[in-house]
Amino acid sequence: MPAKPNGKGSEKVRRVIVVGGGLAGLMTVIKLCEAGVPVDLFSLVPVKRSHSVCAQGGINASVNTKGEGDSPAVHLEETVYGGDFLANQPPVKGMADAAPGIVFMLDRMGVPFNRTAEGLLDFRRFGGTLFHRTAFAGATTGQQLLYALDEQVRRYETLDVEDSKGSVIRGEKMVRKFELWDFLSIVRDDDGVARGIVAQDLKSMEIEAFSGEAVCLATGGCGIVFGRSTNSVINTGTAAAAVYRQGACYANGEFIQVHPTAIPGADKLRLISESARGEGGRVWVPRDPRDARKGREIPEKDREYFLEEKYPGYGNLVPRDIAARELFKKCFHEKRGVYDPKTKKNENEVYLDLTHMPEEMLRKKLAGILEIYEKFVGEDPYTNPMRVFPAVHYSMGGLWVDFERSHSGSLVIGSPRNQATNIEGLYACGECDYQYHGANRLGANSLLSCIYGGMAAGPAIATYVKNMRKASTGDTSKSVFEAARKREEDHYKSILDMEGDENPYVLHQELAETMLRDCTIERDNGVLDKVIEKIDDIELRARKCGVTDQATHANQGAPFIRHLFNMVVIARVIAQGARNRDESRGAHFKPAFEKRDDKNWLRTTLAMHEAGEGNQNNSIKYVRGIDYSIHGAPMHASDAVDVSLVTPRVRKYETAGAASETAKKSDDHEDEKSENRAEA
Amino acid sequence: MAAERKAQLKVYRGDKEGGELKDYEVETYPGMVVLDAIHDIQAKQEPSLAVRWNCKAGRCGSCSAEINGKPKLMCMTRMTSFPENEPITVTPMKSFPIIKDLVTDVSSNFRMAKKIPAFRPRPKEADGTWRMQQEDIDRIQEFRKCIECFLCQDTCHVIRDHGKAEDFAGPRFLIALAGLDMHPLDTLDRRELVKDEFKVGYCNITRCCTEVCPEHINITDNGIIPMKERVADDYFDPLRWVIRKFTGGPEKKEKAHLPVLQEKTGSK
Ligand SMILES: Cc1cc2nc3c(=O)[nH]c(=O)nc-3n(C[C@H](O)[C@H](O)[C@H](O)COP(=O)(O)OP(=O)(O)OC[C@H]3O[C@@H](n4cnc5c(N)ncnc54)[C@H](O)[C@@H]3O)c2cc1C
Ligand code: SF4
Ligand code: SF4
Ligand code: FES
Repeated sequence: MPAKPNGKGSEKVRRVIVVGGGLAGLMTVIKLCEAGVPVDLFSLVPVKRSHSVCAQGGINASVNTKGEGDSPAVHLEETVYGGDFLANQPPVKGMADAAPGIVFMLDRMGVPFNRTAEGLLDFRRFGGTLFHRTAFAGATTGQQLLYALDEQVRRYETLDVEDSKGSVIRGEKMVRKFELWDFLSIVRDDDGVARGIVAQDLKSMEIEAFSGEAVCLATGGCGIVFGRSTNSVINTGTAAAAVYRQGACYANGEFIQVHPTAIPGADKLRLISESARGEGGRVWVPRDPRDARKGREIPEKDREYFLEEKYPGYGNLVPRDIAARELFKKCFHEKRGVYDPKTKKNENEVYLDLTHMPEEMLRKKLAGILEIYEKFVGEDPYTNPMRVFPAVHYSMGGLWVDFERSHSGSLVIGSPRNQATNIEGLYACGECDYQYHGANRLGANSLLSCIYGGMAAGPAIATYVKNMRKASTGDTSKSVFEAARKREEDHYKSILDMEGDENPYVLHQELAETMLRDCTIERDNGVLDKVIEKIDDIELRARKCGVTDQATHANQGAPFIRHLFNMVVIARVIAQGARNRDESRGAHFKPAFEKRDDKNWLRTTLAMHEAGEGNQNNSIKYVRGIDYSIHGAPMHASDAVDVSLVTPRVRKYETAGAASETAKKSDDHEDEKSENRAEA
Repeated sequence: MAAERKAQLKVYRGDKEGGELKDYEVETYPGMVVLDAIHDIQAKQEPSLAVRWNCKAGRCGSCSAEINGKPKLMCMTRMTSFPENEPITVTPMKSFPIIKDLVTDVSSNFRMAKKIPAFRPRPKEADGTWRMQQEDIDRIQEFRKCIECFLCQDTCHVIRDHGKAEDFAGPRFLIALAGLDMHPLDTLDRRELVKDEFKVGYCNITRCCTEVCPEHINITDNGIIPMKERVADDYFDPLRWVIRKFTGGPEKKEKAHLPVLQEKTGSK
């Protein structure tokens, strides 16, 4: 039973804990339930309000309905090529192979995917590919997927748990949901194995420990470390930071994706989905930097379509890292952003233009996306080119997780190593892991990696649980849970007792401004040293916050301070990782080290937390390999990237088809099927 | 930046024991929405002010409240949409129990959601696909745009004035049911439930729900009215009634049961 003092559960059922109810979390829950493993699901917000709901553009799968010659092999190659070869390739292959099955499965769950005239699934284009590979449901794809998975999970919420003989265990449902709970830490027993979690009920503010045979984190990204981003406000990375502080390894933290096209705003940057370019949107600036005419009045010959000119091969659909960098260069270095006659300045904005497309088609395919622009800018995007600028969007880095490679170079589904962190019994999937995107994620691959991550994590955990010798529920001493609970409660009390004069919201703002300005598109070692100094400063000052909110229920101030501590931890991982990596790869770009350096840096950054003693600050220990164990069997993984399927080469988006060269050549012997094609 | 201006707000502070409107003043800036103003108050004046929000893009449905008495999303309501020198009043949704300040307990809706029998598709076609026409997709996509902000539930008089939150499905769930009923692949017949359990009959088509929906879903005309007609056809058209009685329904769909009822009958 959960080691809850007031015992809401029963002693009879051994459950797995999943933290996070976005796409990755819900998929993990479904897979566990299919394997007969009951689950406790925790989420900071009601699951349908998770950040996954915001995804608009779509989900990738090489179904090749248009007969363009697309295939999972091409999808794999373009994904690792787009990621500048930093991703381990077997998990990516597993994902690309499973993608068509995943989209069919979602179709079967009732997701209203758009259709072609023949009634078949329709696909649109996204960045980093020449193929139509992205399935979409109007402008609300993420929401449709999330709601569909939620419906499945809800079924399990009403389904009884059965014992090994098939009789119903009274009062026990397959899934119990704990919404509006904040995950604080995992419970580790004396051997360091994860045995459950400590969480806080954000309504009553009570802190409790729960036992779980294993724990899976699916807690999403950390964009709020940068303040202004396209992310939802709960994406602080607090949960990943908490387990990192407890010994989990954090990988490739320095790789933060900046999306090229968002609506500039005071504190939230609203995204204009890449689907706008997928459907034909063009990016340009006026040739004359002092051109004071309105965008729509500037004739074709006076426009510079700079992405198309520089990258004729992929044009406006070059991957995000490249597009964002080019936009930044136009605005910051060349001062060629859109000229505002009122301020007499070149604003940090470029045009994203859809006005050449038929309005009827736009209304059909992009209405939901364009509506936001209309609402917040007050201009009609059907007749006016939109003004956009890059914004922090996604974290490629995250908790380090393992995988087991199959003979065909894919994943052995059901291996307990898949999605396992280096803490035994702790798993991770979704945006909070680091696994599928290397140094740069391709558009519409995230929803896919979240769902595939869940499909890999579920069976992995089920196997892990089946082979456990000592259970968390029953066999693990209650005192282990009580000690963990007490530690968190004391910590919370100490926050409530803080009487300093620092305002946590202001500290967050300072941190975010520094990170946003100095640790995103372009990075410089001298500047990064200052960033790290700033992080040091904020870490110290954060201990002197004042808490005026003493409320005993629905208190928001005190949990925010806790999240701030954790954001500082993640910020350090990002900044220090960037400082160390002296090369340019994917989203990580240092003008002083302009080239990719495979000899020294074709490797995963592996960061381990070292807590500062007393008044000292935290620090990071970098390791070159990871040793952990599963049920006593030692496991080892090094920081070398598995590039066994596609040999690294320099990216050339100037040339059409460069990203899919190899797969095209080997088209002939294409038939060998992967043994891991996901079952729908 | 335009010249700084100040705005006056009256914000409800309190909990289930009671509360009152309190006055605040914030500086405004271009593009500011009501949620920004609330945050500004939270960060600089009143850290204990409770408010829920997440996406700040009108997608997650967390930030519902009543602004000058009208149910709205705080993150999508521009400050400039109100007269400049009048105070803006922000109160929690009235139809749901208050937790604290602007935060209400909308869990009655989650309980209602659990009662809806899930989508059950027909088998694949011979070539392994499910064909659907875009026209059909458009129809259900409209309902599936719903972000569960529950503003429509808040405004519907059946729930607001007659307290039927646990009894009447309300506009949000009637369109969910309509979306399932209109799904070309679905094989369950939920119409009896729509009539008897979800009480579509309580709705008297005032269209208040459609008016407040931030997703511009035509709740009443495209969802509830067709649903009422389908139920009426099945149960009050004598010929259909006979067909239904002997064949199990005009489209040979399988009759759905409430998930909770299913569970009471014990092992599956
Ligand atoms: C505006 C926008 C548009 C996007 N569009 C696309 C797209 O078109 N295609 C695409 O592939 N990708 C897209 N992405 C990326 C994609 O949406 C995300 O990467 C993905 O949804 C992440 O899913 P997840 O399941 O990992 O996490 P999330 O959906 O973020 O869910 C995280 C879950 O963890 C819970 N949680 C977090 N912290 C805690 C805690 N401390 N305690 C308890 N619970 C916690 C939350 O409550 C939530 O349930 C987009 C992203 C943005 C910002
Ligand atoms: S139309 Fe029906 S559901 Fe909508 S507000 Fe009126 S009574 Fe309620
Ligand atoms: S139907 Fe509209 S108003 Fe009602 S919950 Fe859904 S989005 Fe909100
Ligand atoms: S914050 Fe998500 S809808 Fe307003």
